[in-house]
Amino acid sequence: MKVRFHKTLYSKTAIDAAVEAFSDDADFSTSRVGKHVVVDIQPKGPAEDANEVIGEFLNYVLGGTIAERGTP
Amino acid sequence: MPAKKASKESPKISKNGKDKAVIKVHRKLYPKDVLFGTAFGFLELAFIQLDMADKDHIEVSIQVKPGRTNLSVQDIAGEFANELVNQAVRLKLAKDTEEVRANIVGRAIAQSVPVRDSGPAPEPAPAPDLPPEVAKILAEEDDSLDFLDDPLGIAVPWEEKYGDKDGKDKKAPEKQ
Repeated sequence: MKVRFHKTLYSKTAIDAAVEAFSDDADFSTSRVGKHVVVDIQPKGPAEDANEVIGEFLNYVLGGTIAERGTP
Repeated sequence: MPAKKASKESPKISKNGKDKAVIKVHRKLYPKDVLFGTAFGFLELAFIQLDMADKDHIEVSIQVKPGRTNLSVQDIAGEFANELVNQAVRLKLAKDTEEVRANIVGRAIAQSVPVRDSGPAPEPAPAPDLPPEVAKILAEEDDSLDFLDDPLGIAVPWEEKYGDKDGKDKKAPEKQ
């Protein structure tokens, strides 16, 4: 499954950190399409867990981006 | 009319499937700091993804995490929209009071820093008006005065000084 991260909203560092953190749970390939970083995620575990892995990956990237920005 | 405009630009919630909702947020009303602050509070309950809908709007996709809450995705999306307002007010207050807070913290830090020795010690402050006998004792025994010394007999009990415990005065103090 492919997920897209807009470059004005997400940090590339946070995406890379999430890819590394979830490397045991899924295979990743990253590409750049226009203003988006597109991540192709292939979960390694059972199909019923795929949605959860992808969701947690999304949250991890978002959390990392927020942490990087710091508190307003 | 402002009310009409506000309703046009308030977050739009649309349901996308059974457990997914999409909120469209105007960037000028809810800046990125507000959006991120809000999203951070919902990471435990839902999977959240942000994307640019167009140049003025950000799209927030919310998918409820299974088994984390009894709330429906519609309820969570509503709470998310409320929290956006909450965070926007918080950000405005933080900006409005930034200078005052900086002054308070700056003053507190400045007062907590010890003053460095620069040159000889300053002259002690002049003594207030003291009775002559006290001033004399202080002058004579400035350095050698010990806390156990009792040159004025303050620590001597009343009975020992003026009488015994049964009330018989040895030497009653004179009334003035």
